[in-house]
Amino acid sequence: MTTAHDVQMLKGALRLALLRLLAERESYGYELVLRLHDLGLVDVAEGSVYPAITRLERDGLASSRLVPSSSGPARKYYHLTEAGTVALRDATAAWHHLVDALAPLLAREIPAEPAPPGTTPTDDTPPAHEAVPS
Amino acid sequence: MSPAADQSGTTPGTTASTMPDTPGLRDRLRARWFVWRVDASLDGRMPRRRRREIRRELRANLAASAQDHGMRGAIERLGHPTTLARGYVEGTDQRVRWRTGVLAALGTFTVLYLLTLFFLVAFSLGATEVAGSEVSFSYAYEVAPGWGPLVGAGEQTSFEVLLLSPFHLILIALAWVLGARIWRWRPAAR
Repeated sequence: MTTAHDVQMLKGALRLALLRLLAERESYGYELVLRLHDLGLVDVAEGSVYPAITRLERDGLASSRLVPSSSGPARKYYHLTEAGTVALRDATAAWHHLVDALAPLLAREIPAEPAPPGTTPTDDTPPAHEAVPS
Repeated sequence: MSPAADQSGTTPGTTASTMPDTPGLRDRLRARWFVWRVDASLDGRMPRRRRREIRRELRANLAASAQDHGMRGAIERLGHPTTLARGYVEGTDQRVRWRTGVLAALGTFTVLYLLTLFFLVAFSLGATEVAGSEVSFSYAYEVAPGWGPLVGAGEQTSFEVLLLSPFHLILIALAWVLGARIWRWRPAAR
């Protein structure tokens, strides 16, 4: 279940998700919202997505073109630039690095009481996530 | 699949929705009012061309979202216009806010003007004398010693309001400077 706390985490990952979605298919703003919702990220607000796409374009990671729409004003379709593709690779690597670093920690059993200062928590639980060589 | 094909399998510019394509007048006004509020919050915080693009894009996204949620729902899903605008300028809000500066100066002028009227009426009512057919006023009001009188002193049949005293001009200029964030101005920056 997605909680309000998860929304804060998703905010940081939104840029990566948008880069990845745009790498797969050119999309306009509301369509990207729908695609995020299809992934289960239903708490990602449209008010967060639209500015995030704009920032991608401002930073040169995405480019856009206007496509006429029968249901209203022309829609702005975004696609990744070369810099965006590089940024996606870097961000993906950074994400995996973070997950690999955190996975062993999070796989440990949560102790009933914190250990006293100066002691090291035992780590007899194997890492839950093995890094996949690229 | 074409990269431009949308999620429903239609190509850009088409829609698979069963909702009416054209929003009614009330919905159009709702959308315009919301977009205007976002745009007002962006004033002076990004170039006009970028603001125009954002307005156009917001209207297009609202129209698309309204087909699923209705215009009222589509607007609600965007949150407060000021918060949305803050997202657009994140990391770039370093521009001079000319319009805000002018509004701040006008607001300060208005307050000072109303204060002047208040004191003028108060003093004149408290010191009214009937001399023949003329009405005399006795009043005096100084903002501070050395700052010049706001209203002349003495008994007269007419009076002069010195609204734009140096003190007032300084206050108005200060409001403009603070409102416009004039310290962000760079002569070579566009």
